[in-house]
Amino acid sequence: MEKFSQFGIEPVLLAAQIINFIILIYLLKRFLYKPILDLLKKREEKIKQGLSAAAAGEELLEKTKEEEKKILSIAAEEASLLLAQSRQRGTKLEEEITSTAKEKSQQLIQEAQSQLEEERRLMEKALEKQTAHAAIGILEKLLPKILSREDHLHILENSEKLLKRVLTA
Amino acid sequence: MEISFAAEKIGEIGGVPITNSFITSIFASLLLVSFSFFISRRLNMIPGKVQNVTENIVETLYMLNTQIAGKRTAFIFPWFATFFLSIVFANWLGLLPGFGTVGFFQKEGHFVPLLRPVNSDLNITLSLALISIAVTHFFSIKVMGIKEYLGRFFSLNPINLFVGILELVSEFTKVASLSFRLFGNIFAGEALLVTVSKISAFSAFIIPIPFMMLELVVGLVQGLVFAMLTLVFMVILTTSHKEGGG
Repeated sequence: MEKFSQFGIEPVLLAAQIINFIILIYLLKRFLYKPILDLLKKREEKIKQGLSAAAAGEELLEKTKEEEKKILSIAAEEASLLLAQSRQRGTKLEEEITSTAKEKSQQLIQEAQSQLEEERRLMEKALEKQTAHAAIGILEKLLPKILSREDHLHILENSEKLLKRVLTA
Repeated sequence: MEISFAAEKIGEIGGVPITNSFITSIFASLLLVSFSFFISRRLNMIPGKVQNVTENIVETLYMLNTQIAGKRTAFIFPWFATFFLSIVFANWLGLLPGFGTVGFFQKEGHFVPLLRPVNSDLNITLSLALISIAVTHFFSIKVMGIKEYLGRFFSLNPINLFVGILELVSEFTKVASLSFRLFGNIFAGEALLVTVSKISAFSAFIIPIPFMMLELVVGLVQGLVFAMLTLVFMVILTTSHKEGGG
């Protein structure tokens, strides 16, 4: 006991110190450990949520990229198809226009040729008429000198008949 | 200057002697609680420097506790952390200027410092050791039940009974070893610093610095040793023979 008193052991101080420490534990638990551990847990949860959201976002991005690729390839296919179709249509239309134009030009040429033919025929007819008239005129002037009056009349009548026949033909 | 084993009595309140180490102990506790209160009011999801350091300390202690105690962490952690923080803080506080140097002279010419390092008083280290062992046994009864708890010390099998009695004796030696180790180290450190400072007038300025650095390490190590031993004792006494595979 003497040794203990040398160290200053006081039961009252021991009890006071024990109470002091128990109060300290209670207060530290309430104001330090619990709030900080709760906060750490909350932060951990948030980080987990953030990471899973980031992973989901990345997955979505990948999906969107894949979808974008698909859409682009479909669009490219459609575009090339449309281009081919429009080229085909263009060619067809060109052919149609060309053939119509050819037909029209041929028609025009044919019309011009027939018109030309008609005019030539009319001219020939007119020429024949004029030639006949000229021949009659010449005959009228020359024949009285060569032929008798009766022959002359006879020939004139025949010529006139012939001429009429020619002209009516 | 004489360094006494016992803490010097400063006064008395209602029959309770107030020693200089007790005052320091109350002061250290108040500082710790005030800091905790300050931190808890300003906790933020994005921590500042002070919060970051505090979080790191608490988290490190918690992880250490979890690695050793496993599923018993929840009830062991506050005791383990408080032993560590209060001991380390008190040890480092005792290195501040004014401790052991600011005081008054009694009638006999004996110098009484107003502040004395907390753990250089056996009253305090003994009370810490008593709390540690008492709480350890309380948890043991709570977790294993009174029957298995008593079965650890008393048995009809003579060999087990002998081992049990040895274990019972070891529980008392735990108190002694915990309290005297902490007291011895801190008291020796204080005595060393005072002695070095007293060699000559000049030695009081530069020479104590390396020893103070050493005391910083000693203060940390002693806090860790006390807290770790308490943790290990708690884990051992709350693990049944079946669970432990023994």
